[in-house]
Formats: sequence, structure tokens, C-alpha cells
Amino acid sequence: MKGFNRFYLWGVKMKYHMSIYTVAGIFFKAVVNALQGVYTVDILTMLQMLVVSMLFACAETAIFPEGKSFGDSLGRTMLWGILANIAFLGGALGFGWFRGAPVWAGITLVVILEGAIVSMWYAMWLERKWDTRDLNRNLKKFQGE
Amino acid sequence: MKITVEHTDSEENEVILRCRELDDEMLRLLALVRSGMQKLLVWNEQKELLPLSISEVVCCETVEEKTFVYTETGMYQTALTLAELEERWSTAGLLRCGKSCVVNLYAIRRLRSCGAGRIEAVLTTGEKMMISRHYAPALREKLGM
Repeated sequence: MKGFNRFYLWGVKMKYHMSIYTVAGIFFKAVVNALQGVYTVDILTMLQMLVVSMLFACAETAIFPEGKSFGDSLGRTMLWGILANIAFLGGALGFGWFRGAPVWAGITLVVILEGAIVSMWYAMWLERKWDTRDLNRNLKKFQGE
Repeated sequence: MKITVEHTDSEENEVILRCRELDDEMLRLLALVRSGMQKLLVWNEQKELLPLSISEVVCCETVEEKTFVYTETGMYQTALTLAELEERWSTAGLLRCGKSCVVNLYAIRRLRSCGAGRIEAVLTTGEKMMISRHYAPALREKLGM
């Protein structure tokens, strides 16, 4: 039962991340399509995005297991960034998600992806910096300094 | 509550509590003063018994069912368990920070938020101690966060 519960919790966390990545991918595809005058997104493309996102989310749980978090170690963070590039840029090229789209769409995808990676790292760094500041402020208060 | 500090020539420090009745506030204060006065009985490697003031304790840990007490200058052993240490001197700053360790909050030099709910404590000895996400909420609560 303990094993099942652990697996269930892992699944819940993994699916949450998978959904975010899938929605982001579909949204971007929808925007590119709309700008080209196409107002539909192919079901097969959505399924491909879902599978790629699921594989990436699974890999993410292996890179950041229980107790390890984003930005904890430079090695893990870099591995995560490299895998994100391989998964989403590889998926876009391999499955031809943006085939026929103008060059700017491809460049924008790369910029958004890299921007998302950097901003996630920055948000985590900032959160920890502020938390550390609050912890030390309260510690000094407790110690009566 | 009015706090007055008087400087006298007497050799022994004295604390006088003046109140109409012993309410919760005064009882807490009394407990704090008493816990700070109580000495922890420890023995060193030469099996010499020594009374140790809690303010001298940096941290305590259990190894193979033995409880070790660390100060800035030495290592001692005590007959008390970690749970007993924390129960008796929680008002004096002792806090459980792991399955096998207790830390004196007054012996922490600084804290660092480490993500995934963990906190790293740098002790006055320069030693680093990781507070797991299981015990970190108790530390935050104790610091009034």
C-alpha cells in the first residue's frame, strides 16, 4: 500500500507538470496557426505534445527526486535545461509541429523556451534569497540581537 | 509587562519577578529562567562528570543509541535522550532538527533556504547542518514565521 501511495503521489506531481508543458505547447501552436490563418490544432500534434511532455515530466522527476529541487545543484539544473531543449526543440523538429511556419515562429519558440528556463531558475533563486533573508531576520530576532 | 535591569555590585546574578499573581506570561518567564539555570549533566572521554549550562551546548546527536553533546570546545555524552533534551530545554532554545539531532537555536550563526523545504544551518562552530523538510516547519514556527 505504501508503494502504491508513493507511486500515486509521484503520478500526481508528474501529471501536473506534464499538463503545464502540454498546455504551453498547444497554446504556442495555436498562436502560430492563428497567425497563419489556421484556426484548428491537429489532434495528432496535441497527442505528440502530450507524450513528449509526459516523457520530459518523467525525466524531470528523476533529475529532481523527492528532497531535491530546482536550482539545488548546478549539474541537475543544467541537465534539466539540456533535456528541455532536446525534448521540445527535438519534438518540434522531429514531429514537424511548426512545419510551414515562418522562420520567426521557430526563433520565437527557441527564445520562449530559453526564456522560460532562465525565468524558472531566476524565480527559484529569488524565492530562496528572500526566504533566507526572512529566516536570518527572524533568527536574529529570536536570539535577541 | 515592565522590564527593569538593575546593575549592582553583588557577586551572584539575581532575578526577581514581581507580580500580583502567577499568570501564563509569568509562568512562561519562570519556566524560561529555570530551564536556563538547570545544568545538563554530561561526562567526557575520561568519564569525568561535568555540569553543562545549556547556553554552552551547540548541538546534540545520537549515534548507536548514545547521546553526544557538542559544545564549541568539546564533545561529551549524556544519559538523556534527544526527546528528553528537547522537552526540558525547548524554552532555552533546543530544537529537534533531524531524526538523530537537536540544535541550540542560540548557537546558529546563519540559516540558508535550500529548496524542497530544507534549511541549512551554519553553527557557531562553523559546522553545517541540514534541517530536513520534516523538521523545517517546526524551526520556522519557533522563529515566529
